[in-house]
Amino acid sequence: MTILIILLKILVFPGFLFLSVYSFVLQYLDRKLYARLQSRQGPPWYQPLADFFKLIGKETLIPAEANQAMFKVVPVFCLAAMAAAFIYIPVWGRTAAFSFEGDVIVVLYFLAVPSLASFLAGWYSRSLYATVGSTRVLTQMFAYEVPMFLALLAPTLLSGTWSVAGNTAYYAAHPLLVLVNLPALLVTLVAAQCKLERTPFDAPEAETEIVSGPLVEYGGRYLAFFSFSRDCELTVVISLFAAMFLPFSTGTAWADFVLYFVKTLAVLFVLCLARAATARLRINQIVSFCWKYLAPAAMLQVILNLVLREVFFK
Amino acid sequence: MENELVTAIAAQFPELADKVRVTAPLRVAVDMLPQGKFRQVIRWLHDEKKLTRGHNVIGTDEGENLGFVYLISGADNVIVSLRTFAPKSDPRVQSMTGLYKSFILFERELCDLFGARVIGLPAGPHYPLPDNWPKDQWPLRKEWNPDSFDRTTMEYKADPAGPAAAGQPAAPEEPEEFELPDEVPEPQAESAPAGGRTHETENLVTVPIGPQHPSLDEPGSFTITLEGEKVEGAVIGIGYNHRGLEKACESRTYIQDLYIIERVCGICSHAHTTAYCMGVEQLSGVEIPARAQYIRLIVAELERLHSHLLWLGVAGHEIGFDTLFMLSWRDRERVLDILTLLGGNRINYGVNCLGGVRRDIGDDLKQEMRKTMDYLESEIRYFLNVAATESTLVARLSGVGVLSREDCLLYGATGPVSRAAGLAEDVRVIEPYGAYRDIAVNVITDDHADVFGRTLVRLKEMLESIRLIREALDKLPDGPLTARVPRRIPAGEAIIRVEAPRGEDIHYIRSNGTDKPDRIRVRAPSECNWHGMQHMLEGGYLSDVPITIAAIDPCYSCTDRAIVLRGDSRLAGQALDWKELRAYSQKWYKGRGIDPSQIKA
Repeated sequence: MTILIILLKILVFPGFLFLSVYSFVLQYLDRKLYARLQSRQGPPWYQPLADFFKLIGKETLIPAEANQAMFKVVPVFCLAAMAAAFIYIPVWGRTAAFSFEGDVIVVLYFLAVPSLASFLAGWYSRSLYATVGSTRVLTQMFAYEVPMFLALLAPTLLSGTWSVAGNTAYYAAHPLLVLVNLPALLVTLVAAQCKLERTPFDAPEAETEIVSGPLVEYGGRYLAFFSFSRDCELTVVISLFAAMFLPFSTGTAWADFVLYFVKTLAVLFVLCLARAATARLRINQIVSFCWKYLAPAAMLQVILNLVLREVFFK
Repeated sequence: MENELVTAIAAQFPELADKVRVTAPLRVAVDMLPQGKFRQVIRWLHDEKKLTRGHNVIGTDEGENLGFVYLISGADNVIVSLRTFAPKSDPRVQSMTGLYKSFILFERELCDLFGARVIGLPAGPHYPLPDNWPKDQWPLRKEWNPDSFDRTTMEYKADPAGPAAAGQPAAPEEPEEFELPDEVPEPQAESAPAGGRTHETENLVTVPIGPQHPSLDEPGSFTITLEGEKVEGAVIGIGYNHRGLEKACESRTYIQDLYIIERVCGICSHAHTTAYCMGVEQLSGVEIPARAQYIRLIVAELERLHSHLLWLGVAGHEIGFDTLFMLSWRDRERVLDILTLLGGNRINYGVNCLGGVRRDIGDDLKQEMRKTMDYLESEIRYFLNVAATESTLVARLSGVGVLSREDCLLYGATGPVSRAAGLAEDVRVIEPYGAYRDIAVNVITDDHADVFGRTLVRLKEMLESIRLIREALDKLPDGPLTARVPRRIPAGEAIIRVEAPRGEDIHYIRSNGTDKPDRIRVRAPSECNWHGMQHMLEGGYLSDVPITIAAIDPCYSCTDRAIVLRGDSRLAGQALDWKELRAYSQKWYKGRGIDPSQIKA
């Protein structure tokens, strides 16, 4: 019985199935909003699903020079990491499906997988554009990883717990403390855009320069799963952001579930706005931006939180 | 100015006194000279009279000889045309790229299309004929008959009844010692494209951009050598779109040629036909009615508006700013609507005809234009504000693809590229033509000399165009639309330049007294902007390659919209007016789940 419940939690709710459906919804909303901001009509609601199934039905070509095994495994690897990360993030109520002390770190490491997967995919495709894209993915990763980690770990210094659900619970009890973490919130918001490789930080897949970077050789169902896992990545990052920085809750599970949607949609709106209002930066501009502004801001937040903890919360 | 130049040339070279003359305002022609004398004259003009801008090199067929016409000008904007020749049996000519860097492409054309052997021309890719074109076929020689050429096998089947070896002139034998006159400097080795350069380091990667690439709307091949993300070398291969228009023009009448010239470029179709019509009108001595001149101006400025809006969108797309792309193309549609109302087509509006214009601007259209201009003005001011202040946009555009004032002069850059480098060059001001003689143009310049500067110049030029259109609409004189142009054009030649959206557009028309032109040479503005491209790309980043290429606004071929009502029996054979057509297209999209009427314009 417990095994069955655990499986249900992992595979259905709030696990994989919910993640999949919500990812499609978010993708649709993202595209629709982006289109409306550009005074376009935008796709109909079923477009993400239609794209997915269309790609699944397409012939799959693997370049002769590419590493066959890696080429096929990487998208699955990427999707699995996202599904695994999501179960530690609270959706229904204040608690996650699974939780243990230190799961923030685990989620963060799972979140590094899509970037790595995209690097490996590009590297093993043996295409020129993919190789250039892959090196950009890694370069960009070195730019945003440190500020993002620091900024996401800063709230845990105050709450004293290293689990996502624990954090949510702590800040839900002390909602005003969120204001202390405001710099970290902003840093994470920007770093999230960078992590998700969305404009202005989409140099790794810059269509007009390197065609589409690491994924240039992908097609058919492998591309379908790759892009699907990138959608899941969006959902996971937004949910994690909401859990860490917007932990307002009512205490009632279903009301919190509704609040979860409100929070994630609000974050999506901001990310989409940033995407619509900016031009793509060069990779060197991204690196210098991240290290010049984001990293020091995140560092200051960590110092601030450490001082606060020593002074007020001992 | 032109008379002073004639006097100066005659004073320096007394034997030329009866060969130099003023042919038109701001045009000085020098008759055919032997090569040695020609080199002396061009070198003197370059060094002493500072005629340092090379506009064009035109090949002509003179029967037994090949003729070469060189167009150069200096600070006083008088275009001097110098001529020389070489026998077809030994068509060797000295390259002038040592004096004029901007002649590289034009002289390559001489080699490909006329079979001239240009001595001292830097090595580089073929232009404009394809690489697999047979080495002994020179299509622009008069004896070369396109019908005898099999395009699939690339074989020329000479007509056995015709003159022996028609189109197969004896391949020139290996040149004997060709005296390299010491007065013309050899082109420097460094001006050779990087194609021949070998790289020793292993860190270099070669990335092909094109012929098919998402950032190019038109085939062109750019071989970029990278070290990391830095561009170390760039080889530019163009000529994928050569359609043989000039040869086609020679076998058709002047009126038929108008339709070919209209299709030289998808965007500047009006600029090209204006230049062509002006040339023919000048040759036949016809002055077109004032109303026609004003309508030409209005259409030319509308064309500039839609070309620059298109460019803004393309530039936005190249740097990943798709919102700018969508918004500026949305506004471009308003201009295209106006052009459709006027000419019936979005791109090839066909307003010009020999001796005037074919379409009139009525009161309704005037009203519509004024409304559109008001709308566009506020939109363009908004874009200008965005371009000047949006930080990611500025970060991506400034310092990219720099072509300084000196380099612009050296490489012969024109249009917004040279104006962004601070050169106040605009044909509409240098030699006002048509209605520009009544309505003065303010030249827009900028001193950034980079892509950012070119963006600002184009945006401000659009505001200037709106002003010109409004002024022309107010002043639009009454009168007829056309003047009669004879069928046979008197023999002579005309060198016409007009300001196309992309820069100076030069047409060379030579007539021989029949109803078909003897030679037409179209030099589109993009052609001379390519010369500086390698310089702009090298030392930049890979990320900046697409926007640098796009920033000269290379001529993209726009697809015409076809209004086909086949397959819908209710509409077959029915003529729709503009409103009905709009309604029909909205219904068509609605049937596919898209409701365009919700979009607010």
